Amino acid sequence: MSKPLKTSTDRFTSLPEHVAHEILKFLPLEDISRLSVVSRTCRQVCISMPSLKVNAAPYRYSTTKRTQLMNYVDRLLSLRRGMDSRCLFIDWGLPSTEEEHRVLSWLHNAVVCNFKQLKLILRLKSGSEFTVPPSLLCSTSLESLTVNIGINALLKFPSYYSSINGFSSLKSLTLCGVRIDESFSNWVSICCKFLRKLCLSQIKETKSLVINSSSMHQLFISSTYNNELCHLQVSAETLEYMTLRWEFDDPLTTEHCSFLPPSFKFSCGEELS
Amino acid sequence: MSSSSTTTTTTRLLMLKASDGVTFEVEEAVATKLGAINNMVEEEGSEDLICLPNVNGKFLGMVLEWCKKHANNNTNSDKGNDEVNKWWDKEFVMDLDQNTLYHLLMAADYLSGTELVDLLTEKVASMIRGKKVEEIRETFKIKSDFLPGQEEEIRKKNSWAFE
Repeated sequence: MSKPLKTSTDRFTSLPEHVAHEILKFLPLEDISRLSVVSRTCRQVCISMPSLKVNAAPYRYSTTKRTQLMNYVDRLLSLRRGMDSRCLFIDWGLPSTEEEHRVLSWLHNAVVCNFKQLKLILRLKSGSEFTVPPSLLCSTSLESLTVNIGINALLKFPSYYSSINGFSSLKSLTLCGVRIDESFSNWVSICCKFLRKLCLSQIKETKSLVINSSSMHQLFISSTYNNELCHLQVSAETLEYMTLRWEFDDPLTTEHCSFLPPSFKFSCGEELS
Repeated sequence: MSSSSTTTTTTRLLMLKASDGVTFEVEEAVATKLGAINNMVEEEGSEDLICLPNVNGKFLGMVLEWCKKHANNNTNSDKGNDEVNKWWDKEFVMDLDQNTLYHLLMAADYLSGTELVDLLTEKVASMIRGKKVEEIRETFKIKSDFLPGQEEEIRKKNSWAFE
C-alpha cells in the first residue's frame, strides 16, 4: 500500500497515492490539468499517474486546443521521467504532418519513460502510411503494443536489418484495422522473438501470412470483411490457443492454410459468403 | 434437488471482526468478493474468524452490503441483473457524504474490493469533472500550499484547461 499523499486533513489529498491515481484514470487530461493547479500535492499526483490517456477526439475541430493538448502532453512526459509508467494510450484523429511528428516524439518518450503498454489509435487518411518508429524496438520495458491506424492506411515496420535485436520484452502484439504488406510475416518472426500473444484483426492488403514462432501461446486471426488473405501458414510449437475467423468472398479463389506441428488440434468453421 | 440439507452445508459462514469489535457473519461467497478475504480464506483454509483491524464496523457493514448484493446477483446469469446492479450501485453512491465516501474507499482499497474501488473512485472523479480550481478546493476543502507566485506560474502553464 502506498503512503498517503501528505499529512493533510482534506478528503482528497489524504488518500493513498495509488487510490488517487485510480480516481484520475476516469478523468480526461483537461480535468487533470486543472486539478494540478489546486495544490502542490494535487500537482504531484497528476504528474505521477502511471497511466496516461491522450485523446484528441473532443478537439477534432479545434487546432488550437489540439496544439495546447500536445504541449501539455509534452510537458507531462518530460516531468514524469524516472517514475513508474504503465500504460500510454494515444487516440489521435487525422493528424497533420506536424501532429504526426509530435505523436512520434511521444512514442520516443514512451521508451525513455519505460512504459509497459502502448495503445496507439491514429485515424490516418486513406492511402497514407505509418512506420513503427525504430526507437520503439529498443524499449526494454514494452510488453504490450496495440496499433490501429485505420483500415485504409498502410502500417510499415522498421527494416529488420537496422533493428536486428528486435523487441526484448514484447509479449503481446495487437494489430486491428490496418493494412500490412507481405513483409509483416518476416518482421514479426525476426523482431518479436518473445511474443506470447499475437492478435490480428481486420487485416487488409497482405495475401499471405506466415507465422513462425517458438514462443507464441495465443494466436487470434480475424479476416472477414472484404478478405484479401489467401495463404496462411502457422508454425509454432508452443501454441495453446488459436482462434481463426476467415471468411472468403469468392469461393473460386484457392485459399491455403497449413499448421505445424500437424498434431495441433483445431476446429475450423469456414464461412462461404 | 435431493434434500434441503445438501444446499445448506455448501455455504460456509465466516465471522468478520471489525476494529471496534463489531462482528459480521457472512457467507463465504459474499466475503470472497473482497480480494483480501479471498486470499486469507485460501491461505488459512479452516480459519472461520477473520480480524480486520483497519476497518470499523460501520464501513465494514456497508462494504459487506455491497458484496452481498453483487454476490447474490452474480449467481443469476440473467442479463437484466447487470442493469439492476447498475441501478443499485448508483443509489449506493448517490447520497454518500464525503466523510463516508472517504472511509468506504479506504476500506474497499484495504480489502482489495476492486469493483467497489472502481465504483467509489468514479464517484470521486465525478466530483472533479468539469469543475473549476476553486470549486475543487471548495468541494474537498483543499488548501492551496503553493509558494507565493508559484500558483500563477502553474496556472499559466495549464491555462489551456481554463478556456
